[in-house]
Amino acid sequence: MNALLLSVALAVTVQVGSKNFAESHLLGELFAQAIEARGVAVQRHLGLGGSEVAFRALEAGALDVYPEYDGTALLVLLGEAPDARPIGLKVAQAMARRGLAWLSPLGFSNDWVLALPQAKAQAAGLERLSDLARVPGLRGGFSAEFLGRADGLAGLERAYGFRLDSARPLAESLKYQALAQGTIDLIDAYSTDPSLDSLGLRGLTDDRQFFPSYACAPLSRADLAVRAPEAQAALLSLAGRLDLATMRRLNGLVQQGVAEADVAREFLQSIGLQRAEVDANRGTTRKSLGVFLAGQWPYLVRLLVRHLELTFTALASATLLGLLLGTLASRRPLAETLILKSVGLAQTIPSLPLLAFLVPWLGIGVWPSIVALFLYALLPIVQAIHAALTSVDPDLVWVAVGQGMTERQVARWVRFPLATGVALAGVRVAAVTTVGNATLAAFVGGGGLGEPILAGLALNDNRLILLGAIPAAMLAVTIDAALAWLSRRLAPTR
Amino acid sequence: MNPAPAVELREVHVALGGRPVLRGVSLCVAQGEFLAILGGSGSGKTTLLSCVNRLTEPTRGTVWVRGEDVATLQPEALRRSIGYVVQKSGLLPHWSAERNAATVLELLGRPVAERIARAHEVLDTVGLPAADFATRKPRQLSGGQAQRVALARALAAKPSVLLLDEPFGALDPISRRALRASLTSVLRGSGAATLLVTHDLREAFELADRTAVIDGGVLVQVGTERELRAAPATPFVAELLA
Repeated sequence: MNALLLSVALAVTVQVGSKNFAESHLLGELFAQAIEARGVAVQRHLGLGGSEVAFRALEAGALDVYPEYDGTALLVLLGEAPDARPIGLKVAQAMARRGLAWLSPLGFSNDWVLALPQAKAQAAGLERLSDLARVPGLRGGFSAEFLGRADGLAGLERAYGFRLDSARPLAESLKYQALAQGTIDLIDAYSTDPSLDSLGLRGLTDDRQFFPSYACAPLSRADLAVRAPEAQAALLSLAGRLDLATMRRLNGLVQQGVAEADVAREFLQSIGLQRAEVDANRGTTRKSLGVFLAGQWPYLVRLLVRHLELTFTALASATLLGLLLGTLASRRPLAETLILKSVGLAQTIPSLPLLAFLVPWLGIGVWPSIVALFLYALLPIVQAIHAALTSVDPDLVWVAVGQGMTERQVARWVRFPLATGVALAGVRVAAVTTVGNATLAAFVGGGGLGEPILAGLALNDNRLILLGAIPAAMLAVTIDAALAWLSRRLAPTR
Repeated sequence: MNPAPAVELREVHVALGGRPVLRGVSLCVAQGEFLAILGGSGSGKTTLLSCVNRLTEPTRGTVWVRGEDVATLQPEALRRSIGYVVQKSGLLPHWSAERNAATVLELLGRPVAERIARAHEVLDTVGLPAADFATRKPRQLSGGQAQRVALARALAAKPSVLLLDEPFGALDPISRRALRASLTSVLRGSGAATLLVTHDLREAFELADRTAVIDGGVLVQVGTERELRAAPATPFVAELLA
């Protein structure tokens, strides 16, 4: 009995994360299954909102492992220049100093490449980036990021001494279209992008090693080796097993609509890390929207409940504090400036940096989401309560005082009742935006209706996006109507 | 021994935002007396009235009510003992006529049954049968009816001093005359010392025992209609009466 309790107490659950794009999703799932195959329990936090969020969650101990790229780790997370190659060693050393472990690379590097149609490349004799200098008149279509960054197009042109005829910013999906139509010749892409294969594109070799490498490896907490040695062993067994062609093929399967869990399972089986088993749910390629949604009821209910928890906790606390701050602001000119300015300032912080900023303190999950939602809800509520209280007819207040009301009686019988309508309108605005904002909770593993939306965006699956977006919109409309009804009941004179 | 005057102002000066509004006003109103305060807009007559219930504090000078310096009294207690009606009724829009009429009684902490009984009584007095009007909200009342409720509110606690600041001022001339006619007996019969601020000469002479004329913050003359007509103290008074 005692031995059983001990073993239950010692059982660890490994927290596996990923960032919010398809490849990271797939690798996170791959890590999770490889660890599970060794009998270790796993909790998944896939689709976290970017490198910052995932990294801070790892540092804070909310994650045990997630897939990262060495170039990103060096440039974005450690803030150092990618001077020498290979940079993996430098990253590994820097991570070790932070109590993290840069485990053995998986085998591929997701580099930035310039690509053009095979036929056009052959005709012009283009193989390497240095060949671009002798081919004039090329037109490029690039991601905004590639055009904007110093180590993007501008740096590349300088390093290789070429100059494109034109370079325009294009959205990801439009880039491939424009290339197919021949309105542009050259695009930027990632080397693991399956479209390079499916569209018959050739990536030009970076012969002067201008782009940093983006070799991928599991980034884990150093103590994982002690807490769950089996889990670390599972991750290490993936070392070198995923070369560029394999990664591109697996990404291609996900892009075609094969469920990432299936892609991960088949890959692990193919390299002998997971035993083949008969699974009734196999082959979950895309079903029709109706069949798909019908099968998602329990999941949807869980998401909806979580979404409501996030919204109401944030809204209720913002309303309480908003009442206090709004009242204070309506009474004292100094407090008015101070409160309205600082609450307004909180509103200007973009949501993703704010979430990333909160993760080290609050971990991942519901709490950073609630705090962020609370901060965003505060401004409309404080503003509305302040406006409602200061817009009460001064003649009414004058007469009320003239009848012998004390300041408190004026507040209770005149100011607050007459402010109810306007104040509730502010709460309504806050409620509707909070329902929408709450979808961002999924960026930090907070769950809610944003979870399928983010997964859908990462996996390019519209059904998943709709699974989250439709209930979120319906929820916003319902809450708005409920509060409209409530304000009619509470403020009948207005 | 003469009883103390109901209201007395001694050398009252008021400056609002550095601008002198009242300049050394002295005035006596006997118990039960009806005094009209007549003047143009900006003459300081509203300010004078609000000094009596301490909505405005004099910069210099003292105000006495029933023989007591108001500066020594608790402002809320003082205001609850004085009936106060302004031009725009100032009824609370979310309260019924009955509750509005009983405001001061509620502030005085009277039992609910007494408040309701008294509210119905004063509503009847001002010509609004309680059976019909008690539960109406201000938006269900005409301007004249709202003013009647405001007067009922001022009378409910049976004050010994009544301050009326252009109570008919916001009404059109016809309803204004009708209201005045129907309320004259109510006002005169309340037994309270009454100060009525108005810019209407006929209103002043019709209702008041004496009329005080105020011009540019200075009290220029106090007297009955006959006294004023017989010997106007300044060219302003003479012109006013012409």
